[in-house]
Amino acid sequence: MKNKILIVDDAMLMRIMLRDIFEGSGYEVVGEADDAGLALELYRETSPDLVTMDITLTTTSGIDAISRILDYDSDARIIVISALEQRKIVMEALRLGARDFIIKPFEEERVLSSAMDVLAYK
Amino acid sequence: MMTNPILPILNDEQIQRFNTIAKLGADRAAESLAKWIRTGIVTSSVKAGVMHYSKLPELSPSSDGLSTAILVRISGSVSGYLALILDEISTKYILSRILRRDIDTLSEWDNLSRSVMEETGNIIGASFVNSLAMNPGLDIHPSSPVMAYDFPDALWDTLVTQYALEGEYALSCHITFNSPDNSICGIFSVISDDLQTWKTL
Amino acid sequence: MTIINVGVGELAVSASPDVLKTILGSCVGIAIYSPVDKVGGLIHIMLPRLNNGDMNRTRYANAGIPELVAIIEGKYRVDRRNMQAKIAGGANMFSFKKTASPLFDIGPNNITAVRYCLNELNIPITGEDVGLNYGRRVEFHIESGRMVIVGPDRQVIDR
Repeated sequence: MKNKILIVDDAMLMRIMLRDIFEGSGYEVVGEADDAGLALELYRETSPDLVTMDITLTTTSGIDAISRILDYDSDARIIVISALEQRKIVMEALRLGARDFIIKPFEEERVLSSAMDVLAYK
Repeated sequence: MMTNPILPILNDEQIQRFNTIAKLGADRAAESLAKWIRTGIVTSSVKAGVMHYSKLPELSPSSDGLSTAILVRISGSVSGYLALILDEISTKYILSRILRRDIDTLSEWDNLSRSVMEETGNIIGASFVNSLAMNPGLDIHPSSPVMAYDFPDALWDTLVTQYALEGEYALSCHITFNSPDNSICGIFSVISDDLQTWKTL
Repeated sequence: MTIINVGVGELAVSASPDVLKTILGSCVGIAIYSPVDKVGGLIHIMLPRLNNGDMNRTRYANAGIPELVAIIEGKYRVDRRNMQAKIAGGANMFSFKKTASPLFDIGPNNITAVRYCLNELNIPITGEDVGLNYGRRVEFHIESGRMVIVGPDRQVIDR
């Protein structure tokens, strides 16, 4: 059975790029969201195995979305994919429970190997 | 016609410090841009200082063509805008590298092309901010980017209004990116009225 | 014939056959002229209202437009009843999708303030190209009273 991915990013280009990367490696993308509210809603509906999360979203912060999703499901696997690399933000995301933090611009291999590692962990 | 503007309130040493910080930010932004469009080295030249807003448009190479401006708001320790302004050739070049196809014309903008340019602005802007954030006391949050493709003067017309809201002068940092493969002619401006914060660095 | 460029927050007044030019984003350009006297002025306002003691009054619709009218009346002896206005600009070029941003409400706010001011001064607007999302290169021809506007798509609009 394919692993299910939920992509959260407010840039259409990013959602397409990540979708291509995941689908190209045998994953199933079950949803795309551009803000925290929709992200949580889709998480509930689709129960993905993995979520990719941007930090700079249009109306909310990805940090907020991470918090909400983990409140709902403490086993949620979230990988942050963001252009922001500030220590405070990285620490906060990991402290809240994100499993990895990937900086844009990213290499395809970085995304896939991170996904593989994170999915191997319960 | 203008009445005499107030004098800038940063001294030479502070301007020098700002230039150093800006250069580090520019290098980091250039590195990210190079990775993003998969070219060799993208060098940057930096000019930072306190400018009167009326001088800003002079920094854009004047041409008969149109330019893309990608705007990111910044808040936190410093408030203002980051504006990346690219000429037509640079815009086509970036679009062709990211979309991996030839771009002949910019007469039609679809959502995907807009998203490519916005994300380019996001990556460059965030890289610059990441570099600034290495200075203690500089906690800066960028917003989601938006873009416009129009007369460069009309774009500046909208941007300089921000200065008028706050005063005559603001801290301005202009970075030019140059790529060996092709010409990326862009001005990256940090527009901020928070002179007080910069003084503390 | 002289072409006079009007910069951001500035104004200029002249007589036929001069042409007044400016480039507008979110700012609004207001041409006030008298077809009878062949005198006209152009002001490039940036913001709706002066309320902070800024000495550059011509940046603001509420302070700058009356100043433009005063110059045309005083220096050029034009009767206000002969004055007409043409307006352009006030675009919102960066469409902030969901977030509100003060900078980008400015175009529409400028247009509202300009209409209000001209109404208070009893000067009718006889031509306009305002709002929407594109920049405008504007030429005002005092001789004919025509405002010629070019947008980034290179279409020429005559008002």
